[in-house]
Amino acid sequence: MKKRIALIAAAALMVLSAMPGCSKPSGTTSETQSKASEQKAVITWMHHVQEESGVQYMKKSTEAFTKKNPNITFELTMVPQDNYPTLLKSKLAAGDAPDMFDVDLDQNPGFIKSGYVYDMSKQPWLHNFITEPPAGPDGKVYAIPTSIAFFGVFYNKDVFKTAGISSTPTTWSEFQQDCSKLKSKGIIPIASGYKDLWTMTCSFHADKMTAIAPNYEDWTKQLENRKVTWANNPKADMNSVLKRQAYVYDNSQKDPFGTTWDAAQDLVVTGKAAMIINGSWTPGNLETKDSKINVGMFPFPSSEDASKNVFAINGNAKTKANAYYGMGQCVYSKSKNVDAVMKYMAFRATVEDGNLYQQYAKQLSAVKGCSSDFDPSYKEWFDAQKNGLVADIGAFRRDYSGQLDTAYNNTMTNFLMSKDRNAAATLKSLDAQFDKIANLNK
Amino acid sequence: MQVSARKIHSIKASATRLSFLLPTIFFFGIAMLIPFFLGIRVAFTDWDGITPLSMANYVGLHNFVSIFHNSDVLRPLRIAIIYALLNTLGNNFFGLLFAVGVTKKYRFNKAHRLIFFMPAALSSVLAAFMWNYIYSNVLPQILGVENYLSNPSSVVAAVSVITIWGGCGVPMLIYIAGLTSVPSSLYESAVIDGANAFQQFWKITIPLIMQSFTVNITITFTNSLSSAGLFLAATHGGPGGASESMGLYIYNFLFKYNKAGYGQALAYLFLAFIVVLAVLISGIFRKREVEM
Repeated sequence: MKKRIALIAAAALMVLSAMPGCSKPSGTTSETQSKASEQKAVITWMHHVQEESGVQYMKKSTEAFTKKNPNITFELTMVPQDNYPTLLKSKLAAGDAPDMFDVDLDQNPGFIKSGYVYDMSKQPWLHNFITEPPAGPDGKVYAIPTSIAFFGVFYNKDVFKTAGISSTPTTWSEFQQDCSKLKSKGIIPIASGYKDLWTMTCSFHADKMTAIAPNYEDWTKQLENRKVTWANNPKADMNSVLKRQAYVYDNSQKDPFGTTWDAAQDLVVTGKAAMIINGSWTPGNLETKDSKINVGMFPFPSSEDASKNVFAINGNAKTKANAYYGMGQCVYSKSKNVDAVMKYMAFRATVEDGNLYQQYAKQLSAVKGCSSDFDPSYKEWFDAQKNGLVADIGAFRRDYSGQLDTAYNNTMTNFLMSKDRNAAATLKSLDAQFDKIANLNK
Repeated sequence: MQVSARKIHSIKASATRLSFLLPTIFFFGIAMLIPFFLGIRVAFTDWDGITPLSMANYVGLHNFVSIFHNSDVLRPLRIAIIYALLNTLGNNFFGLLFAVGVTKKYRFNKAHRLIFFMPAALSSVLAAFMWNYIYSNVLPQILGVENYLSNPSSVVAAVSVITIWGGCGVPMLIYIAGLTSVPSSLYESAVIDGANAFQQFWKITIPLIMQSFTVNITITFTNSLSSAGLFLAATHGGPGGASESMGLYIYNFLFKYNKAGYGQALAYLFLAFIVVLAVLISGIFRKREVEM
């Protein structure tokens, strides 16, 4: 009898133990917690920074802020880039959102429609940035880009020297000649870590942002709305982009889709490969692996006209119709720590934090007045800026929304892996997929 | 008085048995039944999965009709069926092979039983991480082969290997239970009648453990059809969508494409498909079960 009661009690206990948080805290406990939260705040920050340099910056930045504001501390959570958007959406839908997160609001307009992101339009520190954060069609600012992001080719200077390459290529032909020189010395011309699929899209970004973006601000929007097609668009020669990217793939190490981003960086750092095509965070990542590496950079030379091969960065929309929200640091509008987060965002807009960013994350801060000699790897960038050789691509969007993004990435992957490399057929297929998805959305 | 005491005893015995079912009923209810019924409403809306559900519009049968007009759904369905077939064959072949081996009496049979079952204790994420390393670094170095996970024509089979490695332990246990229930006197009689090992296996063992086949094949096939987690962890559905199983396809609509209403409708249709298949498969094998 006693044994039976014990067994029943154990079963009931198992059920009850699975129900944490089903009961509301008592009024007394809530009052105590409320008083405590006025004094202390723990800001939850969900990010997708995997590189040690970026993580170091976040640690230094939050420590510096907490030193000035001891009542505000941070809880940082890293989620890999590929899973980040999905997990973030789940957390928002579940009411368990972090206080700070970053998102591309043009790819995810639902965030604004649902009122999840805090309006930062009236914040006085917006003017501290080199380019003011973009205000969307409703005139509001929800995302703060705290770094300058651009795409290009990053190379190991010592490897170039070994191969007898004395200057960086300024045209597509010169790029091909340099790849041949590297191959003749037994060096892999390009390291491609396409197993992390976002790196493949970065290689395409570097190409499109010199070849197409400067003169076609709303190309992505028009493609998504099916106002223009991928194939036969005289303003956007994707045929040539595909052929160049096929060349990049063929001049990469064996099995790019089986190589991770981390392994690709290792190839450049160890001198087995010379170049890597990615974003402006690359020098910092490479230097974290080997502080002695000499990194240089140049714009992806998509054209035979050297004057067209320049770095490109987003700025304010060139026309009102193209006003965009952009991507960057967002704040959860329903966070109970909004005041504390705004204080931290104001700190992020200071030269002090900007210099911390450049020193530790080894990337370019978007804050005005930061040091321009923090890393010799960026010399080519600052020279280009000084000489007016950086194109403003305004509101050009480089990524596509939802299912369109998957269709685009799958099609590009299959093109690169195919034997016949039929660019025309690939673009036709991409058009058919985009049309199908557009019809499904109606 | 005697009848009343017997009745009370019977009620108490039932209550004890029910109490052991309570945790399962609770978790099944929370994790499966409640979401199943709550999701019915979502399938008839255009909910994007981000905005509050109250902001979604009712669209009637539009989601269901769209699915039948969308030929893109055939590719993940084909991938799911191929994956399920490979897993069912592999899990049951190796499960039965290991079970036959470890039910024999020899010195290390218990240790071998444990070793064969151990991979089942690993999570699919950990298994994916481990096998990603093996496929990208170990096999190419030792055997000079490519990374099978990065080749569209071999990726599904490569993921299946991971599943079979981790999944054949459970069928093995079920086959062991079946094998140990076959009376040894039948084998003794067969030996006397001149039957060789293969004939004994084919004519005695297989028919008498058919119940184990029914359970293992039905469960392996239906679980594999709906698999999403391992594909997400190992390949994210790549390269180029070559390993986007039906489960992952539905997951993408629910969480990535901001089309939760469509994804939910797809989930219900696929559930119906799996249930029909499960009934057919178990029916086929039940007809072949032999009562001892």
